[in-house]
Amino acid sequence: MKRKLISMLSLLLVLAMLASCGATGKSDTKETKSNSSETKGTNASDTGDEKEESGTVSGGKSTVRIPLYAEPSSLDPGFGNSSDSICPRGIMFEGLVRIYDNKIEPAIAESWDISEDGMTYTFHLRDTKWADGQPVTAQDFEYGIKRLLDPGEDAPNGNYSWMGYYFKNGEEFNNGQCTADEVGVKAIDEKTLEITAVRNMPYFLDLMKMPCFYPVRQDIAEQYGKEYASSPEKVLCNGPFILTQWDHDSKLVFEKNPGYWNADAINVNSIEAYIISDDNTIMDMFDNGELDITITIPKEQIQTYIDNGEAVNIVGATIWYSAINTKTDRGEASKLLQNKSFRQAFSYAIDRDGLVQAARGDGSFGVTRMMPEFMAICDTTWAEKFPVESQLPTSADTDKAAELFEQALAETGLSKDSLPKMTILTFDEDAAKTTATILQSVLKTTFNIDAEIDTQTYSARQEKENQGEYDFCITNWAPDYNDPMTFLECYTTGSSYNLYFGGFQSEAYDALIKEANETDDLEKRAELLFEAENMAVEEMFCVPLFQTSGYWAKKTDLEGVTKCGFGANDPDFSRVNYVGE
Amino acid sequence: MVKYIIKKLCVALLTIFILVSVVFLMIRLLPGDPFNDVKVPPATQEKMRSYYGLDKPLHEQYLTYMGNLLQGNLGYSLRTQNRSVNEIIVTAFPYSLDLGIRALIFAVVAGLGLGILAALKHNRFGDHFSMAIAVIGISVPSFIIGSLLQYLFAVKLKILPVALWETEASTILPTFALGLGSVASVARIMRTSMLEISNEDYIKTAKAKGLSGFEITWRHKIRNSLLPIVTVLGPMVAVLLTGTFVIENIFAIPGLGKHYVNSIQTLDYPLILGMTLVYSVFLILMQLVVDIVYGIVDPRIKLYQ
Repeated sequence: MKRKLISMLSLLLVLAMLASCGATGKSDTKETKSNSSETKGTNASDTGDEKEESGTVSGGKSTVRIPLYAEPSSLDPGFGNSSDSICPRGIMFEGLVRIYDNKIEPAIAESWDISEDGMTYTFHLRDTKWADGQPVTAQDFEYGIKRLLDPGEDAPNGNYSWMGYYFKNGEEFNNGQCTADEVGVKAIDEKTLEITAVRNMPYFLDLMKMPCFYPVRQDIAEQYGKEYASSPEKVLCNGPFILTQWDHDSKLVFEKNPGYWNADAINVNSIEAYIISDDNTIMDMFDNGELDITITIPKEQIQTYIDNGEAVNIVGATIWYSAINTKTDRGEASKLLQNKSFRQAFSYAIDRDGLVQAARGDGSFGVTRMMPEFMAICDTTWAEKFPVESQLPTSADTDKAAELFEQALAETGLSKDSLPKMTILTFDEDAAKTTATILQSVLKTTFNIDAEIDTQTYSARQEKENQGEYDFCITNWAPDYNDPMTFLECYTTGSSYNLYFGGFQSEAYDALIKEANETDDLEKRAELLFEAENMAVEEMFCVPLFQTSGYWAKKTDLEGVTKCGFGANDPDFSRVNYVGE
Repeated sequence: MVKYIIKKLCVALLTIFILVSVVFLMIRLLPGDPFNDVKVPPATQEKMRSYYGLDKPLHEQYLTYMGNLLQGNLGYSLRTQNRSVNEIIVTAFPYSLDLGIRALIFAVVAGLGLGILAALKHNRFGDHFSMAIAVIGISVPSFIIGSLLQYLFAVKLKILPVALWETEASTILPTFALGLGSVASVARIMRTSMLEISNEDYIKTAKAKGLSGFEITWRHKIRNSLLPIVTVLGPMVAVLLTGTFVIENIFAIPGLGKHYVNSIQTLDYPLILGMTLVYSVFLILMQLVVDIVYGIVDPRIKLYQ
């Protein structure tokens, strides 16, 4: 009898496995099938039986599979610019220009003329089609921008409408102070678009890459109103690919757009984007051939991927700083914080090379200037235009730090024995927490100042930072466009980011930026900006620590996919190609 | 019986009302602001706040929310454009439900099997084997089990996909990883409960009557041991079926689990409330079902008393 029971139990166990696995037999065969097709490099995976047979392009894979960290918050160009939606919108739409390999390239605009005062841009559009076969016209761009700015009930009214403030009367229209006709965006004819800027901005073309300036066809947008682009049926694409499927929080499918002007450069039939937020899962899937690219490479694994040729380096443009609160009354601490010698001493005390290695270890590197060296200025880079020979060291200079600290004590009248306690505000992320810990120990060992670390969520940290509730704050800044102004403008007294970067108050500095913004002479503008940067470095209210850099992986048979160091570091698929067998 | 259920449902409604009210106030105490984005000018942030009615006094917002809730409207997610909380839940729930039911079947069947095996083979190999699995299941966190399974079956052996919820094959690993912890608790409770019952007088009587070992186990031991299992089953169903962040995250399953965590991180107030509501309603309903099932498994328990 016991034997009977035991055999029953084993049966139960087997049943349990079967029940939980579902149709194991069936799926196993399917997997082997897709696995074998993957090793041959003819198909990405089991994307559905019908496609597996017909979709294969000779000489390339039919489907590229990519990961996205999060569900796009919106695919409507007029709505938002959040980083999780930039990549999918870049696949399905195309604007006037595109950033490829960190360079501005013509996209829908084939060429452009710039007026002598640098205020008016005339774009000449090329022949390209919407997904429904109709040509993309200048009117579509005009409508898209005016829809972005439209304060009316039916317009998207997204959180990035202020991007349109770069255009003449954009802000006025958005605030209901003038009509749409007065906005400096006009379609001269079907293929000519004239845009007037609010001032002479050398970085204006770079701004035109932004998703919020993508074209929108009036008839489709008006048909769906606020629901425009909320599903594949309610959107019209003009990009290299067309959105055909959107399973929320799960996946997006894009099919090649045959009417795209550069369609011949693409030999991939479709892109499938899966929402996967776990990096280890992404790496495992990539290794297993279930994905063709990754978003990043965890630092422990970078060497492995460099060795097998799948790692791609990307030098980012985000700079991490420690802002020093020079504005808010922080009691005793303010005596030191508002003392220039102390701030300089703090900067000298930091071993940036060691800090970045401990905090990131992914190829990011220590910096002592306020912005990345490759920022564009007068047809060259910031570092080439204004090389700084006597740069601060990226390793620590503790002697210099001690000397400056003595000077600071003498200036403030504080004694070494009764130094105020300080607070380092940081946020809930590994690199930010490590950075704060290191700065805490720098303060202790070099100056014998006790500091406590205040760790907040990212959003709460921003709020506290903007209210000046910090002595030191670990913060970072990613440039919006490729020009030094995106960094330097933030430090002005009137900027809404002023306290975000230490609350620096200087009329001289404000005057430099104002003049740079007003001058038509680009050489002079560059000189003014350099002067401003020097003043910021001298005052050290915001201590630059390191510039981000990192790696992502892509299969070696995938070509034409690049990531740009600026903005959201999203991959560009406008020239995606398979070179595998 | 009907009266009892109605009474319980009334208490449940009150509980949910209090819960939603408390959570409504508590999430506003979280530091930060949903539209606080350094890249967006303050004026635009104000516009967004007023668009979602977050600039109104708190009591007004509360009354609006409760009014909408009565009509079954959970509001719009603050993070995504055009997506209502109702729609987000309706889209994500089937995935969590599917995974949860699979894990539950696995947990109950395998857990009972192991538990019974352990009790019958008390202090012998079967017992040690079952309890070893139980200890592993309880002490190793599911994200480690999940990652190990991925590494072994997908990366090394290449017999199953790493993640996603697409083919039947892709459901195996998450089901196993999610269910293992529950298998362990079911097995342990079943074992203890059966061993206790083995010493009861009525088992001796049954033996004395000359019933076969199989019949004693089947008709007396197992049936009487099930009561404690039913007790843990209620919360277990609620936990397994409403989605788990860790497993769904590792296996990239578009279920409810990630919304719990993400909505709090992004301060998506309506979504936080919606998720709280789903989970609490489910938990309370399951408790009610457990109460009723008690009566069926053990006729001595009378609900209406």
